[in-house]
Amino acid sequence: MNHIDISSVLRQTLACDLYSNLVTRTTGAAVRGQIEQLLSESSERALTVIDFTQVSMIDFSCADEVVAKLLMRYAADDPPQDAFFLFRGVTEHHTDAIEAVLDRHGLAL
Amino acid sequence: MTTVITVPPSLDDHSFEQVLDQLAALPPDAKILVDARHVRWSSPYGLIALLTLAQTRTERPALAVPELDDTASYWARASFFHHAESVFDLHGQYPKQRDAGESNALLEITPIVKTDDIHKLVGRVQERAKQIIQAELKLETKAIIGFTMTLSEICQNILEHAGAGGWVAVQSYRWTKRLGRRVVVIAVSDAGLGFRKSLETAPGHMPSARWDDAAALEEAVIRGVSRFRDRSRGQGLAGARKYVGRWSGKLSVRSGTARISIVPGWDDDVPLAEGLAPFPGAQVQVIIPEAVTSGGPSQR
Repeated sequence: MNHIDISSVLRQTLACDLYSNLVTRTTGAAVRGQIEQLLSESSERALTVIDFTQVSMIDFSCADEVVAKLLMRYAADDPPQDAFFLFRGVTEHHTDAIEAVLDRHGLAL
Repeated sequence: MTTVITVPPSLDDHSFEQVLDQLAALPPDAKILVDARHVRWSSPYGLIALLTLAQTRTERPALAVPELDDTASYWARASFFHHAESVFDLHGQYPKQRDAGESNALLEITPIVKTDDIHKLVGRVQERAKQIIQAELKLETKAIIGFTMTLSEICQNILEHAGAGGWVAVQSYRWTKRLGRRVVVIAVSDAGLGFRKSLETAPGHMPSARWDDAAALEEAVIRGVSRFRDRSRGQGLAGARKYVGRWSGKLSVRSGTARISIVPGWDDDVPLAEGLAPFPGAQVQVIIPEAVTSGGPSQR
């Protein structure tokens, strides 16, 4: 099982320890890229826990990049590998953005 | 020859149109002096619109600063002069920001030029937003997250669409006209492409017979159309609309010669204003009012 702490990935992506908010599409795309890189280094079929516990807030653009596009890629007919995702630590600070972007793509958590 | 542009004593999104009306007949390289000496009050929109106005001029404009000490102090605390010094030739005495006292603004005027700017301002706003939205506006905790999301998304549109940097400011004050309650106001402005030209860059864009600034605003703000054909796009303004609807707020977007507004019951603005004096880029304003304690629409 893989455990990905999103806030750690965020800090590595931005090379800054000060930010705990998942905002902007650019940041979201970069975080998703890091997640996909981590997944590619793991076993072929793995359960991956995406942990939002330390994330203060997420905006629509970031939710679209980090959650929606990640799920769409691995739910597609030709995913990079089989993957199962468990989203942990998702609170009311995250649900509005995540639900809105997934709904746009006909997805749900 | 220098043309004097008179700024009205009370400067907000509506009265700023008087400034634009005076500019309308002048070419961008005309020498202008923006006369703000008699300004008594300005909303965040008014302040950043003045900065944006300077950016639209090819000949560096002059600005005569407010003569009232209180007004000049407020502008200094809001960081107006700090940024104005780079885009205007300032005439008159004005306090330096450090001498003007502590700002009670939720967010002083802040430039938006790169992604990191948005991370910084979201971080700065979060704690102050909690104080203002809960304690002053008496709204639920959920309103704070939505507020920060809305701020982030509107600022991002500058980076993703404007093709030029912009400005943001956030302030709370008492809205005396009709409402008689405190509000928090987000104002974002840029002098970039504007909605019409941005949508015209979309692949396969086919303008309708009635294609103009107003039509472009309707497409973007009401129908969520983006210049990117990716269905992921266009969610920022859609989210802002949902947020203001939920908390009985107001959303206005001005671009080019038109302004579209989601108008709540407490305001008497028009949903669509056309034929305005042309102004480049886009100017967005979000107003969230204090909750009504007798079970009114802001308690969600």
